[in-house]
Amino acid sequence: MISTDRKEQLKSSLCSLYEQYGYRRFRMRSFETYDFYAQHREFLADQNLITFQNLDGTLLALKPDITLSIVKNWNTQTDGNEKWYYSENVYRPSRQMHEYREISQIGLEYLGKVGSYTQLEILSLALKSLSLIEMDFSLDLSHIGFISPLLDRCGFDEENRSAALALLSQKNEHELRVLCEKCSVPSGSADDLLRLLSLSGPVPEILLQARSLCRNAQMENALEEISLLYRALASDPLSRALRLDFSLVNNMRYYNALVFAGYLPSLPRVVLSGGRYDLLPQSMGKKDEQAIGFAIALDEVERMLIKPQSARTDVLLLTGGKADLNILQEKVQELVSRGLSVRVEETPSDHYLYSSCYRWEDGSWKEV
Amino acid sequence: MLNIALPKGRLGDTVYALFDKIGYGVSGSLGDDRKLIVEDPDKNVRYLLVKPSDVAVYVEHGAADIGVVGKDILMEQPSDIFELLDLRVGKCRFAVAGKKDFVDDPAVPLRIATSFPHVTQTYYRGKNRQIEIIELHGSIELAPLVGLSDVIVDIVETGSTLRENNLHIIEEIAPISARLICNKSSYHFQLDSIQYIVKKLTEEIES
Repeated sequence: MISTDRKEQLKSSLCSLYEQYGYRRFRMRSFETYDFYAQHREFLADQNLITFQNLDGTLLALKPDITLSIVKNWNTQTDGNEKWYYSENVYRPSRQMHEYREISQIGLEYLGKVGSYTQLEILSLALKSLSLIEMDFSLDLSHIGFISPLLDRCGFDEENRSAALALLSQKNEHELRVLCEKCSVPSGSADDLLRLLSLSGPVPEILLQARSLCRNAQMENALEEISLLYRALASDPLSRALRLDFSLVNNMRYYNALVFAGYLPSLPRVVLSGGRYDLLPQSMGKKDEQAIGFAIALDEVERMLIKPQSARTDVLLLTGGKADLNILQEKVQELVSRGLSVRVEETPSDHYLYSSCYRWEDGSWKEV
Repeated sequence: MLNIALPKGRLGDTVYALFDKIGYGVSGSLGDDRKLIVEDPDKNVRYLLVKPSDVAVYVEHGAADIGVVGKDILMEQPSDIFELLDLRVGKCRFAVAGKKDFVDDPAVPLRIATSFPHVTQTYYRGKNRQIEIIELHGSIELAPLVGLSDVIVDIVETGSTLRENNLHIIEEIAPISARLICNKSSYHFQLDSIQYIVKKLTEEIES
């Protein structure tokens, strides 16, 4: 079989899927001003940027992120909601390699008034996107509206609150307990916070357990929202992959409600990440606006898709410099028309990977 | 198959004994020092015996589903993993140590010899103290004795090595012990085995 580029196929399928749901392609140039990213550095996964100088001396940066640009370009004075998807390269440091990498990212943003249907659509598209990559996958749901009040009740200062969030997202129960003790958090509030770590599992079961942890209306509303979405998704067979996990927080400076993260069994890291991030447009002066979306880390997926066998041609023809040009052409065309991939060389080499090999000898093709 | 990364050496042996107790041992034992992979197809478990500073790398990249690593290594190389349990073995601590007659002059940057530059930097950043780090890879205690540094940041167990070199603990930084870490994706797809191991290990530790 002729090998095809699975990554390009996947990108194409995802883009078609989003277009079917009314999302338009957002395209952007490769850079923004450095100041732009510096102003919103907390939104970025990593604050290291590839910078260079424009001809007029302004400092520019190769884009580490697309969402920021989409929200920046959003003209909130025009009426109506905006639905964008993107398939772009971003530039981020690779931790292990100590160098920058070009990463392809596909994502989806819905800007405007985010109603129940919109959230349903986004979750549904997240599920469908994951299913296009692999049959087996998991999508974790969480809600900042449920987690935040419990954190507030602990009375942490800013530094310790960040530390608590980091420990929560690491599922680090023992150290979170120690932190609560160190900060003299009242034991009731500490116990409530720690209970978040056990609220992880199938949606109906965890929703039930979570109800007893509700301490205010905000938390109850968060659960109600999740419950509504789950019931609406129940008819979609992909919803079997949904789980609730209240240790999931994403970046709380911008995410303010529903958040979710998708995993595949063959990849070690989060593949899909998203949620409601109303706080970002609000921080850009677009008051009373809402936003929801997700991004897929294609560089992770790519490792899974490119199989070494695809570098192998089906047939290697060795001419030894002797085959008549017409005979050679005829053989190549015959193989190609049968859907096989063909490579022609004079002599063999260890570098040539093939499934079968024929040598021109004594007036015919002999299998090697 | 559950892949478990263990640190080669004393800590790995101690931790393996724990896994063995809860039913995750391999027939025979880990035994032979040269073997890097020990597998038990009946129990569906495979042990990877790696350099202690590499355990978190195996787990983060998914080559191992879970692993055991000292908190010192996790603090020096933060990794994107779940830290599920404090195994309460391999207990020691990070400390700042120096000569008994050392007096700190805040007007001058503090020169610190250490093989844990990241831990050192993080600790002193929180204290707003200007420092100069000299990264060494062994026999750190020597540095203040020959004037290479003012103090050191190092792992202290009983403190006898410090005492033998006429050094003493100036400040404790953080406690260290062996931690059970887990790959974020494996957590989702091997949940039952992982939760069982956490539960059983917790029972063992608390008894």
